[in-house]
Amino acid sequence: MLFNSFDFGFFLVIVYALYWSIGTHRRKAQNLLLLVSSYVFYGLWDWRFLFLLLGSSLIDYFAGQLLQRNTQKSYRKLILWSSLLWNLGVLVLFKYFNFFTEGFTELFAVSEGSYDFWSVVIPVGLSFYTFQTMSYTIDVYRNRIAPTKNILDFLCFVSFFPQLVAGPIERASHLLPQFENKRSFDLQTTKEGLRQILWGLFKKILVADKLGIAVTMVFSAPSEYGSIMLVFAAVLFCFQVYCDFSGYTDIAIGTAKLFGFSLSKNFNLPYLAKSMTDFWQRWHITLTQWFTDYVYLPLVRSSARVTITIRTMGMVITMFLVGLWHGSNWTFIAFGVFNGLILALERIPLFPGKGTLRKQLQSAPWLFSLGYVFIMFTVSAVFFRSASISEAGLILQRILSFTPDTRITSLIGVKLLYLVFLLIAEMLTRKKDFPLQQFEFHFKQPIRWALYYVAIILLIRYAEPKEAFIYFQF
Amino acid sequence: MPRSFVKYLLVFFLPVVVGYTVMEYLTLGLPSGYKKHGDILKQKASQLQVLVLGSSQMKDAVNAAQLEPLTLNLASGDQHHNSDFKLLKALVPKLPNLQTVVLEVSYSHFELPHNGPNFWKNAVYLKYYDVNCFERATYFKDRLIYLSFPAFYSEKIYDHYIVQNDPAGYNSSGFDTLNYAGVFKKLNYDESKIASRRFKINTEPDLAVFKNNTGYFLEMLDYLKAQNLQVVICHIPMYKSYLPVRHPEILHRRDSMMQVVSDRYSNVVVLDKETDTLQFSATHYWNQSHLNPNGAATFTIMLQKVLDSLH
Repeated sequence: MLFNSFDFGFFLVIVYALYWSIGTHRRKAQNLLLLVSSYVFYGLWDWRFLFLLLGSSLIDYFAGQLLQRNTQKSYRKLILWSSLLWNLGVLVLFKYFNFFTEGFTELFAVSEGSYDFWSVVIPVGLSFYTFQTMSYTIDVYRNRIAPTKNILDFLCFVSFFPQLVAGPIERASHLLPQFENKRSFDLQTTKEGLRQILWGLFKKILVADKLGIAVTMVFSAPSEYGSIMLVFAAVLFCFQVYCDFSGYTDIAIGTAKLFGFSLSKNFNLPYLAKSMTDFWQRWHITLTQWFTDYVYLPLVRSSARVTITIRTMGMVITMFLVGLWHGSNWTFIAFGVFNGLILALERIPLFPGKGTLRKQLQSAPWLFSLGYVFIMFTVSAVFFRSASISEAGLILQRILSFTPDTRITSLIGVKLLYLVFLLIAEMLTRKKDFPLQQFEFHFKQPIRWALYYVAIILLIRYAEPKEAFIYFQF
Repeated sequence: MPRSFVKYLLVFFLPVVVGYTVMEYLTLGLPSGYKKHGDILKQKASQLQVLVLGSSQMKDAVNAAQLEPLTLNLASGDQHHNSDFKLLKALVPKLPNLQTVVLEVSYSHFELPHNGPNFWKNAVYLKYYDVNCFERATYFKDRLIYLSFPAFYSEKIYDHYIVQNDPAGYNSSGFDTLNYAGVFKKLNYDESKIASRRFKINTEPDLAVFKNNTGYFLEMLDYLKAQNLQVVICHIPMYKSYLPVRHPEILHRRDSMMQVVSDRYSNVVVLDKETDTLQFSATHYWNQSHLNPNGAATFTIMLQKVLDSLH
């Protein structure tokens, strides 16, 4: 069930009405409703993978319980590793097995006339909820949080439908207490939630999906386009993926607000970053923080001496894994490694006495830094979007060889107006979480409603047949 | 949740619901081949002898009104074999006199992915043919035509009601007899201009999709054989500039598969006109891969001959 579908709207209205009609004094009943709704939401996609979701949840719940009861270090380590082995094993089995062993598909290939189940079905949101449960167990192991005794709260924490399939990747310390505490209806929060959903839909339907048509056209036949069009398509893809994913996140956060929950911020105007280090602190923030806390820092700290070389290696390895997290394709690995190398480069003092490249970029003219970040991200986005490394190579080769274009006008259309509007709106309201936040402080009700209606009409008018969100596949 | 908020929501969304209702009503008033097909299914199901399925190439190539046995052409744009099969399984039990099913296998049919579960025409099938291709329980929303593809229908509504530039002319069988305004007409059927015109063609072989699609296709043929139905598989004519651009691997695999089909199924006849450049010229085409009504008239005669040979 996609957030930009009528089905989700229908589902949301029913769950919302039931949730608040239960009464705020019956927290457990509300949680039970959220759990059932989340499992229905997930099961409507493919009910078979509900068992995987439940299995992962139960294993980490009991791992947390066992960790609390045992103080012996070796035993605690065994529990932790058992949990990690399960979670990583599930990830490897469903996401990476084909990648590492081509023969897997052959092994499970079914007879003529049926379908390669194993080679095509990856549980939606697997990478997101697995990371969420892993962080819980690691945090309990590190004694950073106390494990919850309430299994219902924990199951809700893992499967909460607004963020189940594409994040934000929540930490137990932030989300779990919200299930343990009473939620009360707040009109202002509800209005903000609805406005954030509207903004997310605008980003997804009117910007990302429209840009996606042009991007797909070029990336499906890159050899037919010259340098200008390929650069243009790569730039459009950067905005497409941003609007797609941050649009999804806005809908997720807005939906959670309707139920009295607060989810973590996942994007902070990444295209205004002044260095790639800054960029990764603004882009998919919860994933970056996860890898920093659970991969990069342990890697660096495990070394006897924390030298520049160690940190550089740690950064490249971490970003390699970030790339791999996105999927079992060499293009994602190239995306990760490229970003890792750039981040490592930014930490090295290239010019003696002038500090690191990152510091120089921070103090450089805004347009220069902006251009630098955009070029770097666009290059890595070519890897991200291409079907294969050779295709990415072909695109970069054609761009750098300044191949002339004969079809320049075909990509430029009304769709760009929405993007321009979006960028202006986000930049003008950059101190807010989203542009429509506290809208009533700036506009009177008739104007607000008129603007909402215009947005709704545009959303309905320009809706294409339902497109999946790009990040669902991860 | 305070009641005042519920009222606030209802007041806010009332105009949205009313506005949507108007759009749905306007959509249902558009001229539509699907509507005609639905009427034929309702009124003449017991008399139908031939059922045609396939994509837009087949839709544009067969004028059912021109055929001697009572024929229904349910081919439509983007409709892949999996949608064909779902339609078949739902309709065959309702068509007691059905003798022949006409299917399409285009050059890259086997290497293009099937329609997904959210294929927008599922709503059309449900609304007009009463066939559930969603493969799940349906509810009121699934019959809403405007909602199935708002961007598409918004343009149709604009063309039909506002600028009144909607040249569709559906005949009694739901075939659009005025469907000439394609690329070739714009180029005035000038062969030199057509030759330099770029067009869309799939040149990306995909073995995984091929395996899946052919398996599925054989399943469909097994079903038709079990139902004692004759099958005509058509390769629709393609314009001469299309033919040399076809990817040899895709073409070879398609042709090998067709050989397997011919060897395995005695109830299958193949009508291969894909490379017929003698009887089909520029004036028969809408674009490089679709016939116009003029071309359809010629192709339908060829299909008639095949049907005559079967019955």
